[in-house]
Amino acid sequence: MNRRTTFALAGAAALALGLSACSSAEETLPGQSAGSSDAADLDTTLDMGLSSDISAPDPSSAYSGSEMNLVLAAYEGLLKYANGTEDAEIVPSLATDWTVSEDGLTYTFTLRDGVTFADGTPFTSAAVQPSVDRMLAEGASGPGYMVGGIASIDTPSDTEVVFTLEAPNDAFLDYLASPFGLKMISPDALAAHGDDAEWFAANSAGTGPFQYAKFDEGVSYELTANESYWGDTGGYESIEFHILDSTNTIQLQLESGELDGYIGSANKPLFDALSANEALNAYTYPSMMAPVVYLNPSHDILADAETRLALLSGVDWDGIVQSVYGDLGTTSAGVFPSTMVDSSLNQAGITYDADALAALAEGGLAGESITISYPSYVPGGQDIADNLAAQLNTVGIKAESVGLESSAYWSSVFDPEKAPDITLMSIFPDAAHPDTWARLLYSSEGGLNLFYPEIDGLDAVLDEAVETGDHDLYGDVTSLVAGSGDYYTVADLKVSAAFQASITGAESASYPLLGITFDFTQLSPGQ
Amino acid sequence: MLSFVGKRLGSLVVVLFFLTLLVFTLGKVADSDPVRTYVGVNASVEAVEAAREELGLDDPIPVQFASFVGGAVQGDFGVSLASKRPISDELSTRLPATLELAGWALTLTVLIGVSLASLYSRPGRIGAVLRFVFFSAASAPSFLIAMLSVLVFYKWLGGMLPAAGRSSYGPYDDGTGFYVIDGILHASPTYTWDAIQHLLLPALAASVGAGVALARVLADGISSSLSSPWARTARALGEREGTIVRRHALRNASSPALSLLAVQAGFMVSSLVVVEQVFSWNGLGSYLSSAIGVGDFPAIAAVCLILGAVYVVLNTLVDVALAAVDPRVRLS
Repeated sequence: MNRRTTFALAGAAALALGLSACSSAEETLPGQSAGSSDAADLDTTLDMGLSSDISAPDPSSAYSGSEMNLVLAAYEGLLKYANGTEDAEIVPSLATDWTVSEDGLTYTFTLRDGVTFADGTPFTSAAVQPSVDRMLAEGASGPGYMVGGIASIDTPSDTEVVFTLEAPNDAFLDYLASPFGLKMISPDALAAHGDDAEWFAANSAGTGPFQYAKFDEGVSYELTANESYWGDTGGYESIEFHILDSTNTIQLQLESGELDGYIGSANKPLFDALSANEALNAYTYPSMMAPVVYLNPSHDILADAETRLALLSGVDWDGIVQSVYGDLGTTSAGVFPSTMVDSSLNQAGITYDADALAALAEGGLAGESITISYPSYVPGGQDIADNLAAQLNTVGIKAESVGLESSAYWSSVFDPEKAPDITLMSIFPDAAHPDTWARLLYSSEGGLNLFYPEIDGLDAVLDEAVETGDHDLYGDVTSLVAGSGDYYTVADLKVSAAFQASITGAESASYPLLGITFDFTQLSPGQ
Repeated sequence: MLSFVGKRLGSLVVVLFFLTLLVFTLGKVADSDPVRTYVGVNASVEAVEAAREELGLDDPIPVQFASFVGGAVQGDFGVSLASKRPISDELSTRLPATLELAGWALTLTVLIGVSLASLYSRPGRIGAVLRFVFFSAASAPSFLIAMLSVLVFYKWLGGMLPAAGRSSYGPYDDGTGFYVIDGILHASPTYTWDAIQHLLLPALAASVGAGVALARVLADGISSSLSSPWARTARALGEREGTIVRRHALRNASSPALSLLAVQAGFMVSSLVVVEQVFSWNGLGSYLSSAIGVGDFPAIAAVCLILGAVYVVLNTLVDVALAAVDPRVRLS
């Protein structure tokens, strides 16, 4: 490049910059009209960090954790769980009152009057049937089952809806209150976009306090306050969820004030680090998430229930839970999450026996080696598996822990030839009813009954319990499951969150089922 | 030259076909079950099986391969199992992000390489110390440089440069996806400068190793050129040393440096996978990384195809550039 060319290029660059500078007075940034500034609304935007991208926040099919915060901010169901409570208490949402017939088949709801969807359509009972229909269609492979047992829906008036079930289902109210449960969608939006999943992935048409605004997929998701919301939208005019692939970055941005808050899992190191920062307030919330250990009865070394039970009682679970979760975990006493079933019905009866493992090492497990697998995304999964392996190795039972990415994990646990001897999963129920937990984990066709052990009589007890509503039967479920030695619920977990110290209302904003879903109307920027 | 470029682009089709076959075979050989990613962890056994059928995962492998290739030819890579969004839509926003970062990283690589070349060949103790520092920088993995640069420029220097993302303002609705260009096109120095600030740290992390390697090759080339007979002749004719370096030695040394740059560009693509994760850069690298974690095969295959195409095109451009700077090189 000769000198003349160099000067020409430098001149062009200077000209470009000069032109840009000249027009700076009228420059337009994305999301703004010319000359406007975003300085005025900075304090009323809640910037939240997420450690991984979310799936499409479609109200009819969303079925995992993170995107539910978007769904619950923009949509409401007839019922919900109260926020800020230890137990999952069902409270009114779009239904103000309800009755259940004596035969358990008919549920009558009085709907809230004067509610409009964000698109301006009035909320009436006419919205219920199309919302149910879309959930059945779009949520068929996920939460659609929650409205699957409805025989008919009648709407005697605009403010009354009557569900008639095909069979009594004691979990039905929990299904309606669940974050994954039925959400009301504007009939006008359904008529225009009903089967267009792409539209519902980026646009909302609910009655919630916020509505979907600008989605920069994989980067950030912005929600703005719904001006026509029937209640109080809280202290923020908008919420922006930022996808940050690393919790280190989230921590740095919280410390610098760039982020207002972060809702995490039971991540002890991160919680400890955020708790130590005086500019932040760290919170813990109850959840029904729990790590569960599965023992594989189809493997010869663990085929005997006595061996499995001896192994479970020989492990120092208190020590493991304390070292892995600290204040975020409590050793479980039963097979259900502690807030799901009355403690008198939820006692597994597995007590620590310091000599049990040594006896196994010289007896049933002499010379054997045990593989313990866990999916790498489970919070504390590696630490639990490593601790468990260490305790076994200490007494002479050769054991190794193996972490797998989720797709490899799912490929191995259901394959009899590749399945490990022991595995660990983090479980969250679809609703706070014990049937959803037990049917998912323990029934013969449960989606997370990983090694497919069948416990004699269990399915019948579950069916009877959910039909009759007799919760005492879950005591029988506890006995059957605990006695099998196939499963061990390790701990009741709390999830953690951190917000800038000036933000108020965070202590009671969490919904108790998952802990990681929030009622953002509770939050205010403070002074 | 046109014939050469035409042949290279023709070979691209063959390369991409075999790349697809390879990725597909690896995806099938590996123990992987992505269905739960699609339907959710709590899905029932029936729902899992229904989804497996819906996704065609029960079909014979040749049928799955033909179906994927048929769609890819039309630009339809299917739906991401993780996000449930069309993969082509996701790639359309992520490809410009990666190309912009790679472009800046390559530019920085050249700047670092050329700037350090003269320091690299310095004699004496100072030269030895500099070579040690350069060696250390070149051998440090890109993720380490990335994390260190975040600590220094974001945490310790009070947010001097941003630690994550591509922009503080998001994309323009009518933008190209290349944020610096978008800022210039919209006559917004604020947006342009913000985008450049976001680019600096990730581009630096991706370019340090390649830049130092380039400096070594350039320094060796310049050193051997300056001791050659024609350099002595030039000096005897009264040419200044700087002119001899700029007009003759650097040009002679640029041929192997360009070849190295092409190779480094390939490595850079792999280092971007890590760098994008550290900086939450919404590009193909972070997309690939998350897709691998959950066995999102359609997304993995689509990214591999795109990166393969970029790599072949990049190498073609370097070959053309080699012929331009070195008359001894003939394109054939």
